[in-house]
Amino acid sequence: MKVKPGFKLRPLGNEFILVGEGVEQINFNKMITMNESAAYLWQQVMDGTDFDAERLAELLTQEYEVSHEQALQDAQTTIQSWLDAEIIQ
Amino acid sequence: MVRRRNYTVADLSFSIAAEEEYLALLTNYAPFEVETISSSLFQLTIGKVDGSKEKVSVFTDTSDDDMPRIEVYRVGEDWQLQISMYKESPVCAIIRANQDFSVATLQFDPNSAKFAIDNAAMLLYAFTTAHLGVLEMHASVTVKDGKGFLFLGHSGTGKSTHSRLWMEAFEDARLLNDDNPILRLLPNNEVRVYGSPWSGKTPCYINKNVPVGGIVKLNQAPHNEIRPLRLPEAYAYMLSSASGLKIVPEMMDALYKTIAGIIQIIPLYTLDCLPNVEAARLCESTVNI
Repeated sequence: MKVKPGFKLRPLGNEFILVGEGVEQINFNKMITMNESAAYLWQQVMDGTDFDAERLAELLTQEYEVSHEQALQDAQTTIQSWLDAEIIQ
Repeated sequence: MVRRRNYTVADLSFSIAAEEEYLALLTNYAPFEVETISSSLFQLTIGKVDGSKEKVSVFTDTSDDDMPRIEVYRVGEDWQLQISMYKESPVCAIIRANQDFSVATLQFDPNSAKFAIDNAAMLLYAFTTAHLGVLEMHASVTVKDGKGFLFLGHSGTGKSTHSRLWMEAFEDARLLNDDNPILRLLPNNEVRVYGSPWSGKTPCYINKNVPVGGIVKLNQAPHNEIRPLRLPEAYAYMLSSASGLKIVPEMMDALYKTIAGIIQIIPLYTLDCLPNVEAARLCESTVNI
């Protein structure tokens, strides 16, 4: 899995919004909001590196005090919501 | 004979040079004309664009059916913007500008002279002011109690109608601008709205400014209901209502900074509304505090 190019993560108060700002996302007009942990994951993979649920779970356990099992579940949910939002491929 | 005229809009200046027959069309700029300016955002000259150099397509902005279509090209380091009145109509204006849009030449179909000059000036104004805490908005603005209230929404959602309803509902309400006001986040964190020479179909070119009282996103609905917007929603609506060039990262960084600053000072609301005076009263009583 990889992030699609042309997105920019913008902090707003204690939330984040992902906006299509590059030429690749010129017609992207959805609003994707992210909480702190989702934004943290996005920042780790936004350079276009390949990732899967295992990799995101590993990143979560490095940053937050969660069990591997819980982290993997959260990572899978996150990937599904990113797929639904069409911001990764 | 080519003459240069100077204008100051929202305390920021630019100049337009053209044959007198074209300058005579620019009556909407008269309230903003000044004798001299100490510095300029951009200098726009009506003339011929050198078509011999190769242009590379960057993208085409067709965001809204009712809005002019803008094709964006690079010609070496320079920009070329080609404007059509509507999505399907032929190109009627070509702007060639240097890298930071401070020097530009405009060539147009003489039948569309006014449209071409206004759109070129608006684009250049937005592009050269983004880094100064300025937003060129797509909004209608009504002034009441010395404060400006901005109404946002897609073309055809009733921004002008809502402004008119405020004037029906409140004797002291006045229109400041009906389509493209200028919004500024000033260094002291004050947010002010300014009239401009660009006001859509309503001739309302007022060289005045007031502090902002509120910003409201309008939606047509079978009822009247208003609620505050959360920051991400407020940001998205402000961004889609502000002019800018999405592909220039520094410009988007600047718009983000300005919008994020403004929405943390001025609360945004969304109003589901009917085109009636009750909608104006509900809006005013909620927003004008």
